[in-house]
Amino acid sequence: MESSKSFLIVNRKSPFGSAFAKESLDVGLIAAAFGQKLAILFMDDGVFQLLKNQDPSDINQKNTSQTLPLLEMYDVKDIYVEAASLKARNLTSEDLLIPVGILNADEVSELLELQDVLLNF
Amino acid sequence: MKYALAIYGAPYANQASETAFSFAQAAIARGHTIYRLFFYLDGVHNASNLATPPQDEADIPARWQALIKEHNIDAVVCIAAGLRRGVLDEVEQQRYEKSANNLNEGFVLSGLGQLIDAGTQSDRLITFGA
Repeated sequence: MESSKSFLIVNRKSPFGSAFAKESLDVGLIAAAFGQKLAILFMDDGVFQLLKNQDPSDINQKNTSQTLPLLEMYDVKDIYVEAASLKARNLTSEDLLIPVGILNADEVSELLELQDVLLNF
Repeated sequence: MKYALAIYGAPYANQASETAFSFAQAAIARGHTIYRLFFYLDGVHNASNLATPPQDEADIPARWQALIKEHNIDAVVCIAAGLRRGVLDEVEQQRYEKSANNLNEGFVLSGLGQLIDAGTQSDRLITFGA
């Protein structure tokens, strides 16, 4: 690829109920495989995508959260969660499957400001 | 300016596809370029040539096809998203031994790398239907 840009994937939807979480993760893995600078932000119901111990077998869905640790293997280390979204859902970083940076609203604004390309899911 | 559009909404399901279409039309009318249309998630249904809306409703897939043809726009349908939702070209029909194919002329099936490329090569990548 000729040029490289910084990408931010913003995940705002719950892990199940729609295909957004699964197909967003596919985009993240491809972006990383193509060597783009990639960060991922989880906010609103998107924070549920990071929960430990997910088991969607009763609704015939794949447990895509098992793929999340792959991001680190692809060298994607900039993974963030919006603090207020966690708090509103009575969650802490202890409940999450992978290590994340917790950002307040101002820090989220700064993160958005820094990116060349935003991909919303 | 060079725009790329990522379209996630199926026609007739929500407004995403129509809004993206209006945006593309307006951008072209103002002299901008559309670097690529990338159809992902349920947006792949915009590329089906089997949609048969009633006569008093807009034929959204046909309108996309006409715009793509008139302005020679690169229109990519994510192959993984298309296959699981039943949007196939002739090659995939034969590969998976299916009874039909339905990818409209002017669209191509390709991988997610084309979405990343659209992000790097265009001035703005806009998502419709998240």
